[in-house]
Amino acid sequence: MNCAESQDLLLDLAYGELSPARAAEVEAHVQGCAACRAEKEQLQGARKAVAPLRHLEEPPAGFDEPILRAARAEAGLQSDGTPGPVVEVSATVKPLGLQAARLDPHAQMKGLKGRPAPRWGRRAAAAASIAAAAGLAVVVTSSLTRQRASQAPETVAPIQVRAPDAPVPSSLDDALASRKKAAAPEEGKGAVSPKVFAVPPPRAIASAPEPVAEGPRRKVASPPAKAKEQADRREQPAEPVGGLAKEEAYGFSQATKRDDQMARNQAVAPAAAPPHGLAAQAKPAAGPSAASSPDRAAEGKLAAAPKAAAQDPDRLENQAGEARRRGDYARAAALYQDASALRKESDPARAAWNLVHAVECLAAGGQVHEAIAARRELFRAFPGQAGQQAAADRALRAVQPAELAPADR
Amino acid sequence: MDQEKTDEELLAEFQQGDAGAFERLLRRHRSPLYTFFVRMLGDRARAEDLAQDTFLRIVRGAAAWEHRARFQTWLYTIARNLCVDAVRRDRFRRVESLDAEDGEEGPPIDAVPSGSAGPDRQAESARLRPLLQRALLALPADQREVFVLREQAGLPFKEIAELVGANENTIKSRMRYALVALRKALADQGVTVEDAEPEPEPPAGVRLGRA
Repeated sequence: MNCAESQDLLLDLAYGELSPARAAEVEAHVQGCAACRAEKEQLQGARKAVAPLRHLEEPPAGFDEPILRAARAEAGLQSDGTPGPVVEVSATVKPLGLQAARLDPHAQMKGLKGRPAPRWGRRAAAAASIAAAAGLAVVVTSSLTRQRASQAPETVAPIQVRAPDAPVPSSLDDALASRKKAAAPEEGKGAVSPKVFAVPPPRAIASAPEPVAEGPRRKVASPPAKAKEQADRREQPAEPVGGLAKEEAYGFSQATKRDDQMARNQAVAPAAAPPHGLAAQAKPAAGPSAASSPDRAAEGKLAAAPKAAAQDPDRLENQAGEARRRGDYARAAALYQDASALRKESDPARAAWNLVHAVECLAAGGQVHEAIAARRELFRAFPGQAGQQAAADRALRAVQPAELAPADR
Repeated sequence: MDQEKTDEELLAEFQQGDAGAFERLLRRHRSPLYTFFVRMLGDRARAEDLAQDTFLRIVRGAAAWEHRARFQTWLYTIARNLCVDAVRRDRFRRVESLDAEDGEEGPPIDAVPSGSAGPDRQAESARLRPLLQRALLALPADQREVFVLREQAGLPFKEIAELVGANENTIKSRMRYALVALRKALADQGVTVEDAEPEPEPPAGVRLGRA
């Protein structure tokens, strides 16, 4: 080792940052080099001199309190730190189309201001929704983190759920018309008034097979007002993390109630096949025959991207956003994918974000396999966009916590 | 058991909804972080505000955090950014606030007794600390932050380089300048190194997060 190297490493040596072998090399050089020895002693002396500054200062009393309050709120606990009440949902009916709004961080939310709910809650809700669609019983604590499917799922014949008076689009014109109508859901007969969540308009059939067993049985010990109060008590309005839309904190029980109501009103015909695959069940259908149509996604894509707008990615993106806020996730995803393809060369970063949105929409709409495919496309086409890839993974983990990592990496 | 968990493990547990894990993280880092701001700004009240702000940002950002960097690096990146903003905002007020400090809110910065050192050493350390703190505040901010991040927060030079956005050699030369200047400041006050008894290294908890 020469002097230059040694001088370079003396500071690392003084702070213990060298490996034992490297430190020994430097020490060996220092033994035989007066200049380096002087420098070493200088540094050691200086460290000794500044030692009083290493003294730790104690923050004043009360320092922790607002931080812990925020942490508990973020973790979904009550502000006094106790775990909240248990919300139990068992074999209840959940049209996935309605659930979807809860899975989508960008879905339009009404009637509530305040901090966004923790993402964990959303993940848990997603898992609960998927599990419910699969006919599994789900127990969700109020922190919404320890979801688990019952070990003995009841096998229940799936049913089709149909919104009353829903027009079934048979052509592009129809689809566009129903979209227009969807923009003003209040006019539609049988529209659900979206007190908390934006729900998809009653424009089509939700084909999620619904387990209807012994009917809903649940304890809901947390009245909405309490949760609202808790939300209000939070001190500072937070910036939504990662651009998430605001989401209400107590929608779970309310939405469940409403879903049940919807299902009671709308269940029309039991379908033949038992649930066999999540994605197949979860796909939003475009019409009564949709359940048997393999080209459903393609149709949705066609309807979603009329030629007039097809060349302008910004416009497609806007339309995708509108569709998404309406809860029309299949269409939103298709539009995002088109926008991504159009700007792939000109603006790869944004194109990658478009794909992320597509993944989120597909996941929110229950099209898990398609979401995985879109994620794969993202990784293939935009290998350098780590932020986008991470965002897509987050969206997928929300609906596919276990399977994503091994199967798709 | 918990003592052995890394920061990153605790944060992952918090991500899963365990608020207790965050509490342990907070206990581990509250004093070092608060001290970081005290050293950087020389103002306890603002140190408290900014340290709280840092933790609140951690709380809000936790859901999106991914285990790419160490937690401690993330923590001090936020802290350092807040510090840079604060220093920028009142570059002019700073000197004034230092002068006023002893008479203002709270005890003077150096009045808190150290729990771990013997009485003589403790007294000596407390005697020298105001001198050093003043000399530290007189350093250029880029030297001061490197010094505090290395000496007090215990971050290695490589991480400081990433955090500050400069290369490692630049960081090390700032560190050398800072050490030389602080030692000279003591000498100017007639304090020799032999007078300066070493403060014990920070307790083990401070370093637990290190990979």
